[in-house]
Amino acid sequence: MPLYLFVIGPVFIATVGYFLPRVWFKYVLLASQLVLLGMAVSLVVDVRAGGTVLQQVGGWAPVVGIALRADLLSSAMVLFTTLIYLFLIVFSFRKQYTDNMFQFLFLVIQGVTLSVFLSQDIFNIYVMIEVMTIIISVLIMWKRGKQALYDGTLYLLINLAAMSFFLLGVGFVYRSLGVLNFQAMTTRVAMISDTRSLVMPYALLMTAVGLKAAIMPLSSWLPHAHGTPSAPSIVSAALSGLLVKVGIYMFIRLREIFAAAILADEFFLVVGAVTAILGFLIAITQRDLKLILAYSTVSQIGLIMVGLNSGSYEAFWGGVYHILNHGVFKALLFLTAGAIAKEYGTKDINRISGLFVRMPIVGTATVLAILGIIGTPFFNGSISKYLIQTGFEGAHETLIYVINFGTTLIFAKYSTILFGPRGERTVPRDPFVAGSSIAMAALCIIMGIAARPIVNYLFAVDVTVEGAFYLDKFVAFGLTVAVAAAVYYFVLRRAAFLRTIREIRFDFPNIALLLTGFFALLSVYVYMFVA
Amino acid sequence: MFDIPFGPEIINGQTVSLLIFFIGVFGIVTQRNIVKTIISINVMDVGAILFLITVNVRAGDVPPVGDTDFLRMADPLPQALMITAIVIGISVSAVSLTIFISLFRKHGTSDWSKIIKRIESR
Repeated sequence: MPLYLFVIGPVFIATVGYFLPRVWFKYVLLASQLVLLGMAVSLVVDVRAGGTVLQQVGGWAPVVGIALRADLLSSAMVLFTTLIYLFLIVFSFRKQYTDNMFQFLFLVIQGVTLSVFLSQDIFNIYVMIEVMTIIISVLIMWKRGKQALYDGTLYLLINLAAMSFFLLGVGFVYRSLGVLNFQAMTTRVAMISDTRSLVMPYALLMTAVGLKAAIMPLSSWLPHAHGTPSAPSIVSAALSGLLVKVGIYMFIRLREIFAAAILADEFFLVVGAVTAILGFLIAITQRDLKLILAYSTVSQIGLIMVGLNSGSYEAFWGGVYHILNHGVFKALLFLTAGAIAKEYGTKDINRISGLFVRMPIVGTATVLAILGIIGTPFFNGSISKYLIQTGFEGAHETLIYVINFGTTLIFAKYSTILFGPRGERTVPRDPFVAGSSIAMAALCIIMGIAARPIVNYLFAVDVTVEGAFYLDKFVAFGLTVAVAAAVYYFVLRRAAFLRTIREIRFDFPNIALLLTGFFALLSVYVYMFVA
Repeated sequence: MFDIPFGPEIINGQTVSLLIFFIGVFGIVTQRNIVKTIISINVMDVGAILFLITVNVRAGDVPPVGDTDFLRMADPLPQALMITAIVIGISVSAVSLTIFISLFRKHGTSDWSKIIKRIESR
């Protein structure tokens, strides 16, 4: 199957659909998502059966032109993207804000994202990420709220600044290696004797990718972009579930490419741990539903980075599997948060209660997603967290427990919306919202129970996950939940210092300073200790 | 990589473009005015573009146009790529400035910190 169809397909359908009546476009959109999902499944099957698919676009000689390549990781990410998109589109089927322009932009992002996952050319990826940045900032500002305009502008400008770093990094890559193709870069990096000449390209590219992946201290733009009050909920879900993973995917690729010369695993392990811990510390101070979820995304990204950089085989694939798992439950949480906010007319967690009775289906889906994210045995989160944990021993294992305790603490707070007095239901039931939420919740369980076959099939790695179902995991999990609930109920519920932390805000010059500082730190560290 | 040659040859495409890039970085870190931020990002972009154009250029190279002798020709690949990058840079500035206009109309200021204060005070 031609890989360019994954890129051209969504863009073409979006362009044609834009001129159709809105009602038709919705059905075209849905049908196109089903077709794309079928194509993605067949791509995964192809790659698994016949090995990596490599295609030259435009018939250029290899290395000269742009190559599209689908290996196991890419095809899994393609499948994941199309699956999440299907759920998002079903969810928004009856929403008012999805006019033709919105659906056009939303579908173009899908094509662009898929092309980032499939492209082998680093300059091509630069172009695609720039396109993505512009479209996303327009979608964040879609309803033109005051706060949303500010958040969208901040998102756009800081990402553009980071992509300038990326472009300069591409220049350094071309100067040192003479190629822009991933495969050719990998082989030539191994031939470079003076590894210090790769410090600049490495640091520049990794700074840009780190900002895209929102690792600390580069993550201060993320919560406001993902959790801005007036952004449509499917945009928040796509951002947090899917598009932040583009940064992590690029991180995995660049780490592989430079691995022969520069491997700064320790650095990113520490950064990941800091990200995870600071993420949940800030998340528990928040009161806004979406902001809690956005900071929890930061924390989960830290966990993924910890897994990817642990140096252990199981933990690496645990991190990769956590990318997919986090995409599912976090997208679900953002979608249900949108539905909840619409029903209650507020996003303040203290003013929402009785969700279970007032919105039974959305409530159930929220509970299942929470069980997934805190790593309940048999849910998807437990498997990836277990795999990440097996990469650590002794004192370092405590780190994973601390991170998971933090996640549990966040969601102990979040789950207060489930119970308590309820009001009358105001917004009419929407079968598409309910259906999409329940399907995603079911996926959380399926990805947990059938984790071993899924991981084995998607990534062709044989990892044992049965340890996640042993009795001691249940005990550890139960203890974590009990302690987290107690800490929340007795300590945090009334703590006044939370307000101070909540009100810390960075403006653009500060974030730019953090970006520059991170670049300086990374390049000095790599120059001194790695290269 | 830090062994800088002294003398007039220090003023070449590489060093000048890096200087321009980091002037842009200085701009985004120090300027509080949103328009100046957008300009600074533009300056960073220009620095990166100049770097790529002058990468691997030897003295006496001719532009890769028409039937040029390919031994004396400058490397055409970065030049082709940078046309794309320049176009992207223009579109990106246009989008940023458009967004800035709506932001200015809503908040009535072009200062990053004042906007934050106005959002918080509500």
